[in-house]
Amino acid sequence: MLKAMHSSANKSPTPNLTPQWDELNQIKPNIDQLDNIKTHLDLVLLALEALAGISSEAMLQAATQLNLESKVPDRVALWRLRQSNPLRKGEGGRKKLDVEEARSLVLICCYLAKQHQELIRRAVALLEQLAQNNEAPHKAALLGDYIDAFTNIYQERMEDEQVSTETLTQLALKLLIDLLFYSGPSGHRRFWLALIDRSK
Amino acid sequence: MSSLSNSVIRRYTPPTCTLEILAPPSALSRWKKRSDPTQLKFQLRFDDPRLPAEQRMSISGSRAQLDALHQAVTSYVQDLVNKSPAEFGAMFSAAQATNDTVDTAAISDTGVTPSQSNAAPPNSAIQPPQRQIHLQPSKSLSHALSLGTLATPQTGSIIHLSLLQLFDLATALDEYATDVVALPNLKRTLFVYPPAWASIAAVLVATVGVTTAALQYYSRPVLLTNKSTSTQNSINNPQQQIAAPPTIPPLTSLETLPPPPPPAGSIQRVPVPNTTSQLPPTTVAKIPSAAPGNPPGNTTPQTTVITPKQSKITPQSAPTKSPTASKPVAVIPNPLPQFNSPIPQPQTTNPQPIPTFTLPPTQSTLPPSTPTPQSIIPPKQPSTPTPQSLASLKQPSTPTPTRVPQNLTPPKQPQKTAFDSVPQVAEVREYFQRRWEPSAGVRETLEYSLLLDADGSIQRIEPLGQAASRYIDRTGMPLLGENFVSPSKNGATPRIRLVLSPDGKVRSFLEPE
Repeated sequence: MLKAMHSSANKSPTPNLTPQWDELNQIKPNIDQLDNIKTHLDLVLLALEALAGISSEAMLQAATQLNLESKVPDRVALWRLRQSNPLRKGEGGRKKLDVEEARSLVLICCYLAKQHQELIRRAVALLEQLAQNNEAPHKAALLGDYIDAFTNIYQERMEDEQVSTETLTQLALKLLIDLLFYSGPSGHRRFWLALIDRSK
Repeated sequence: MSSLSNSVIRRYTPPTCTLEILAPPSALSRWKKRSDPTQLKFQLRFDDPRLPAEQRMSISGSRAQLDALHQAVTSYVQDLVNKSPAEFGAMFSAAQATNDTVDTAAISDTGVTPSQSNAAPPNSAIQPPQRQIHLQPSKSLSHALSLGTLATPQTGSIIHLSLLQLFDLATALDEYATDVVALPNLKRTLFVYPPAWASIAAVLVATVGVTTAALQYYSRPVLLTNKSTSTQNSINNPQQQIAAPPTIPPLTSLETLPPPPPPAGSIQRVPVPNTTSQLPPTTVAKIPSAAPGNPPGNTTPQTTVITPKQSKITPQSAPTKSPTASKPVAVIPNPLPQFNSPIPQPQTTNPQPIPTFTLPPTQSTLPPSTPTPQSIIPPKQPSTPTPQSLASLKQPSTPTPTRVPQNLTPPKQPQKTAFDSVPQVAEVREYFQRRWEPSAGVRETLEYSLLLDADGSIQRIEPLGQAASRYIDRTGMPLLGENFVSPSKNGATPRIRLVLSPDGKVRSFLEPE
């Protein structure tokens, strides 16, 4: 059940009228796009976990730094937001994610990506080098570990355990490249637009 | 077009390229405060350090061409991230296949390479006009940037960029676009770069103003601005970026980003929200008081510890909604915000960049030699209880054995040390770890005593030692009252010692009450 978009007046005060928040406010997805958005958000966070070992604690700290505690107050809330991803296993858990929560997760992801930008850059540099030499990404330890971690976490959490390793590798690497661009100054905008575009 | 050091009014330096915005020649020939931004020029150097010197290309052009380049890069990057993994893979597979059959120039592993001829772009579905700037995927995750009218005999019509180079280019262009959009109301002082003689005259004027301002300085609280690295850097090293951004400026500019839509969206002129409208009058007035007239190096009376009398910016009110005009915004005499610095916190809003634009006289073009009238800088408020005084001009030896390795936890976790008696200590450290980049000029350890407010903002900044006073603007120090760390649990106001080493180490610990 998708939560309808609602105005912020119905909720606690908008956490932080940051410029990015305002900017993301300019574009609103349709209700039926939210499902895909939930998946996309969860996967980007998954990529951050797999690459940089980012824990829930770090995500919550990011929320605090961004004054988004009202949206993501604690681990349970974070888990529920992520659990709204329809691809996830389990019947329980909240299946709702409203637009403001989605925006919050976007800002959190970009904040974390920025924090770990050096690591992301290193991983992308390795990826490019290997691609130039037509070598498999697993040849670099950083990438190999990332792909393995991503694959493991994905298979552990998502309903579809039959998805191929190759598909997951491709997904992991694409998300890595996305994270690079999300770590830049306009990252939040790019991410938001990508969410909406990909959800169509 | 060669990059004249005295005409560069903005410089953006991500790791693999350098974008310089140049004042139009007319602005150099006469002292005028008005400069038409549409007449700006740019120079873009693809100077990835991994590239040999001969492969580092450079292009230059007009503002319009720069905007076109920005638009092309923005829409291309958006297209990239919009692609699903399968589409992305297919895109480069197709590019690979095309490249295999087209005789293009050799592409180095790391680099920007010119094509020897107008090779057919990888995606040969529809050929854009040759003179249009655009990008297309090339092989092995690289991207072909067709330079259109920006092409030179050296570059050829196409430059190949790696993902990182593309990202850095996009970053520089985004920061430039943000600057341009953020300050439409200050056009008249934007991008003004006076000639040397005018700068010298301005120093004299500023010195007079400083004397007057110094009297006010002790009698009224003035907020410290955040870092303004570049002025000093530029003085000490002309190669360094001229524009010093207090980190805040970029955040302000973020506020004014135009509505997202189209990645292809052209740069829009968006009126800066509330903040700017209130700022110029006040901040201009404040500037002299903040600037002991010595942009060159040592300046920045940022050392003053000031208790803000005015209402502080609370975390809630701070960001976008402009602090009242009465908020003392003491601006370091950096005329140009450092747009190159990473944006620390999204929520930090700061009107300060705006004032910086109004202070051409104190720009970094001034000869670097002028010794700072240190006397103008009250090194420390008498009331400061901190035992360490400015008398300890030597590297303030940190009393604590801060050799404790900071990575007590797995590297990817938030780093903790044994001195994290309150969470704010670790937060302070992490904040500065992201920002502290010791430059060649800073050889001493900089030590500051930060008195935090209960809401997590800084109530007072006490530089310990002359070096700390001198280089505070390079530290990324946030403003007083600005969002900094998390609020104290019990409403306490901890005093945290911050130690920044020239080797890049950042240490922090709680000072005893």
